[in-house]
Formats: sequence, C-alpha cells, structure tokens
Amino acid sequence: MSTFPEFSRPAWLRYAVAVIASAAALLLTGLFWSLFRNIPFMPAFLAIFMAGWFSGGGASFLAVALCAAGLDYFFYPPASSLRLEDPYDILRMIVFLVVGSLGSLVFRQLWAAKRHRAQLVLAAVRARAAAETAAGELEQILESITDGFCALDRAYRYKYVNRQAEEILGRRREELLGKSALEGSPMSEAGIGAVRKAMDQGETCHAQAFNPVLQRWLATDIYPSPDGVVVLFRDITDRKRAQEEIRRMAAIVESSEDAILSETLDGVITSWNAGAQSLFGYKAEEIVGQPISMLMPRDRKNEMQEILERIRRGERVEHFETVRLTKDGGLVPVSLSVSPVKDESGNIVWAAKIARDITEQKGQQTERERLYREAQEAARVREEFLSVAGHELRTPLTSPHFQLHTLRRRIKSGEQDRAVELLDRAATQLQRLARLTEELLDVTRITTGRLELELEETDLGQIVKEVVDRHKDFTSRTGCQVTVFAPVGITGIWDRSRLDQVVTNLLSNAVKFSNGKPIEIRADLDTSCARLTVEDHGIGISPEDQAKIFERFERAVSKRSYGGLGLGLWITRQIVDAHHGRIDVTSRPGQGSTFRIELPLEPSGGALS
Amino acid sequence: MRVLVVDDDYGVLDAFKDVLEDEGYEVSLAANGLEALKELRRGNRPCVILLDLMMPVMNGWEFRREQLQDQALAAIPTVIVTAHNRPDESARELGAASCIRKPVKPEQLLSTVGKYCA
Repeated sequence: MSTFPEFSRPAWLRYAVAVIASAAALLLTGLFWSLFRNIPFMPAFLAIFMAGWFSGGGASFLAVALCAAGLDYFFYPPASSLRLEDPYDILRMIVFLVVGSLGSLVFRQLWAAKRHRAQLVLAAVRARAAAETAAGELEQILESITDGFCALDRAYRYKYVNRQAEEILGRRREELLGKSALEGSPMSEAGIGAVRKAMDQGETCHAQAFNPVLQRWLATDIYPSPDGVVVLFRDITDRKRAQEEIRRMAAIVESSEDAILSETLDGVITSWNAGAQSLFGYKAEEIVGQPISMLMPRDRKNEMQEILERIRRGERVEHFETVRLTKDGGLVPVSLSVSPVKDESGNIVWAAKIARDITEQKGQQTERERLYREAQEAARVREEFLSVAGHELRTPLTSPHFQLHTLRRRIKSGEQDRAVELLDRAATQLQRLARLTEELLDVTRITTGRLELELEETDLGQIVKEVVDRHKDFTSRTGCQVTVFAPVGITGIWDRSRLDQVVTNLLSNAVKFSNGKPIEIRADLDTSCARLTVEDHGIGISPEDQAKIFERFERAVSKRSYGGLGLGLWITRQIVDAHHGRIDVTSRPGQGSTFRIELPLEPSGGALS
Repeated sequence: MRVLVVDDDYGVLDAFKDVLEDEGYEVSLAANGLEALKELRRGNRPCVILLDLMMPVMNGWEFRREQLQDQALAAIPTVIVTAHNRPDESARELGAASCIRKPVKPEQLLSTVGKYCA
C-alpha cells in the first residue's frame, strides 16, 4: 500500500500521534484555562479529531481516554485526583466519553472505508499492470508463433496482423490494418467463406484450400471472438506437395506390375504391393509381418543374409537374378533390385525391394540362345557341306581330263583299241557329276516343296535288278558280293526314277561302308505294302548316330575317311515319306546295318512338303 | 620307275594309271592306305606316292603316320593329291613332298611325278 502512506505508518507512530495530540490539548487547556473554563473539552475534542483523522479509530479512543484522564486529574476537583465529586462534572465527563467514543467509532469506520478503498485501488492498479503484462506477452506470443494470425472486427476489418501473417500473405500489416478482408484481400474464396460463416454463425470453421493469389496451399482455422473473429492460418504447400508425392508414389507402387515390397533389416516384410501379390500369390494381409525367407527356395536361403548384409553397408543390389518361391510352391525366376532406405537421421532402417518376373525374358533368352546355337550350327554345317560338296565335285572332274588325254594320245598314235572303254569311263564320271548336281538340286526342291512325284505302275523288283546291274563293276572292284532276293512283279504306284534313286543310295551306302563284305538286298510284297531291305556287314552305325543319319548334311562317319555330300539318306527318307512309306535302320557298330523301307502300294500323296 | 597311286575313287585310279603308263611308268594302285602299305611292304618301292587323303579303311593321314614310322618307307616322296580345300595345309601337316589339288590336269600330274622319278 505504498500508494497510501497512512496505512504504511507503524502502530507506535499512530498511537504516538494520539498521545502527543492529547498532551497538546491538555497543555492548551491549562495555558488558556480562563478561555476554556466553560468548554474544557474543546481542545480534547480537537486532539481526538486529530488522532482519529491521522491515525484512525484506535488512536482516537486512546486520545479520548488520555484526555478524559488528564482533564479529570488536572482540571476537575479534587485536583490531582481521578475522582469526581461534582455530579455535574461526572455528567459532563460521561457526555465527553460518550461523544469522544462515538467520534472514535466514526473515525474507525472512516479508516476502514479508506482502507477498503485503498485496497480496491491497489487491486485495480495491479489488475491493470497484470493486464498490460498479459497483453504484452500475448503480443509476443502472437508475433513469435509460426502460424499467421489476424483478428478481424465485425466489419471484417483487420484489427491485428502478426509477423508470420505478413510473410504468408506477402503484405505489410500497415497495408492491411483497418482494411476489409473481403475486398482486395489476399484471402482465397474458401477462406472468405469460412470467415463469413464463423462471423455469422459464431462457429469455429476450418478451411484447407489452394490460394490462387498466393499460389500456396493454406490451412485456416477461424474462431469467433467477442468483437469479430480471429484467423489462424499456415502454409501447408510443402506438406501438400509431399502428400501429393506420397500419393503419386503410392499409386505408382500399387499399379506397378513389378513386385514392390519392403522389409526390415532382420528380413521381416513390412509392405507388399499388388504386383507382389500377383507374382508370389500371397495377399498383403497374409505376408506383412512374416519373414522374407518364406519366399526363398531351400537352396537359396543364404542369399537373404548376403543381400541384407550389403543393404546394411548402404550398398544397392541391382538386377540380381535368382529364383523365388510362390505361395503354391512353384519357382519363379526374378530379377531383384534392393535399396537401403534411411530414416531422417540417416540411419538405414529397412530395405526396399523390386522383384521383376523374368520368366518370359528367361524364355526369350533361352530361345535366343537356342536360335543362336542353331544358326551357328547351321552355318557350321553349311560351311562343312560346301567344303564337302567342293571335294565331291572336284574328284569326278579329274578323271575325264585324264581319260580324254589318254584317248587323244592313243588316237594320235593310232592305238584305238581301248577308246570305247575310255569314253565309257569318262561318261560314268560325268553321270556321277550329274547325279551329284541332281542331289544338290533335290535339296532345293525338297526344302521349297517343289519335288513332285510322277506316279505310275512300277516294279520294285525290276528296279532293284537294274540298280544292282548298273553298279556291278563298282561293287565287284570293292570286293562286295551283292545278293539279291527280289522277285520281279512287286508292283505298286510309285515314282520310278525316285525309287531308283532310293535303291541306288542304299546300295551305294552299303558298298561304301561294307569294307568289301557281302551285301543282301531283299524285296517282297505284303497285302498292302512292299518291303525293301538292304543289309550290309560293314562298319555299322552307333545308336546315337542312327537317330541323325536321316538328317540333312549328317554323316555317322569321319569325313576324313568317307566322302559324300551327307544328303543321300536324307533325300531317301524324303522320297519314302512322299510315298507315305517309312524307313528305319537297325545296326550294331562293327557288325553292319540293315535299312528297311515299307511303301504302301498306292500312296495317296503327291508332292513333298 | 614305279608310281604308287592311292585313291578310293576307281575312276581316278584308272585315269591316272592310263596316263602314267602311257608315259612309261609302272603303276601300282591302292584303294586305301592299308592296301598301299601292303603294296609297299610287298617290296614294290615306288619313286613317288600319289596320295589321296579322304579314304575309307585307312585314310591318307593314317597312312602317312604308318609310313613315317616305317624306316623302310619313310623316305619315299609322297605327293598329296586331294580335292581338299586347303591342300597346302594338309601337305605341311603331313610333311609331304608337295601337293596337287583336284581336279588335276594330266600335264600337271606328269610334271610333278617327273620331279621325283627322273
């Protein structure tokens, strides 16, 4: 109560005022007794008044008591005694005491009222100070918060704009204060709508909208206040963009055909997209929380540790081709890309994995490899064929030169005895060349489907006889004895020249590989087909070679030992197939081979395809 | 002077024989390496061997190996007469005196034989 000094005085000082005032009153009464004889209580009342006025009811009572005692002792008979004898004096004393006491009571009440007033004033002062402090603090808070803050009055005028609001709205507060928020304001329509609603309905409103003026996303909260509304708003553009990015990424992940999943560094699956479901068969709810080892085939369990170890080191694993297990127990070839994922502090917390189904790719790769191998093999076979063909054509070209040279020399010298023989030999070599050329042309005819059969009634027995006769010289020089068991009259509807070609090929092969050992040719007739068997006792064919000798350019023997184009058996089979017949071979290496042909008597087909 | 012709093609054997005999050479024929070895070991030593390479029973490479291993036969000059694409290569490989590629002309053959059978 420093504002009110009378209430701060110590009690002794207040009572000292009473004592001094009383003493002064008694002294004044004594000095001017003649003046106060009839009103001896006048100075005493002044003392009581002074004590009461300056020191309150207590001091006033003390002054009453001291003055009453002093007057009685000093001025009322008997002198120097507190006794009163005169009833009039007693009455006056009583009146003095009563009036003095009443006055003291009044002062007491007065002081109580003054004290109360002082307390009220003090409280008001304190309240004002507190309010001022609070307002300062509030302003400090409003200026330091990260949200924009505006207060609008009922006419939508800006009453307060904080620093953050200035920044977000891009206007200085001086430009905004007192202006209407509804006109020319940087507020968006959604924001204005929310402000109107809060103002009109007295409700708290929230708005989240893109502000086209500011080109920012703002989240706004509007609270009604007694004299308008307060608006709190913040820039959520970055958050919105992040959310948008997250949504976009989530959509990409979810719509990806690749399996995209995440796992902890302990290998526990934490997320699982639709692609993963379709690749591995598990639904997200089945597998999230399960160990990734569920997808590992037994023989690849250690891969998981290797991959996770690399992830822990912060390395990426790219295009790791492996195999994974599906829900139904099947294996699927996949290409894995695994990346470490870090938290905000940069610690690696989990692994993001993309698994791509490479079944088709693997199939294509295998197919490409197969085609490449086939192409390489075809190129090799062709190269070899050209080499062999060159060899085969060069040899028969040699002899006619020599035979003509000899013939010319002998004609010149008049020795013509062997001229016909030499010409025959030259002709044989030319026929051989012609046959080789035909074989080469047959390859083209057969592969382009242009080999046509000229079907007519043909006697197989007759053909066998003719072929064997034609090769008599050749077979006898090789030392082969050819035995024929083929009655004439095995007739069917076949292509005569092609059948001749078949028998010739089989006989040539038999002679070529028999090493001078006997050969048997049999032909007979069944009810529906004719059979031809050519058996030799030569080098034979291994079981693995038996499967491929009917293929083009294939041979079962070293080309260092046996010439030929490698086409004879292939052409033979094509001709037999064209007649809807069949050909097979049985053979044991070192013991010889037996080729068997069955031909329907009336093949329905015509052209080779 | 004798010439040994080794070839599995009877047309070639006959043709070579006629030309060489007309020039005064004695000619031995063999249809493969094995027959050639038999002929040589019979004591009919030629001044040159005309050797084809691709033959059944015993081919030219196998014959050459046998010939070189036989002290009595190793020194006989051998001319490779082949339709093989790279006769030089084969001749080097086999340590042959020379090589002729088929189709060969009579003059060429006679000239070559003449070098070894003068």
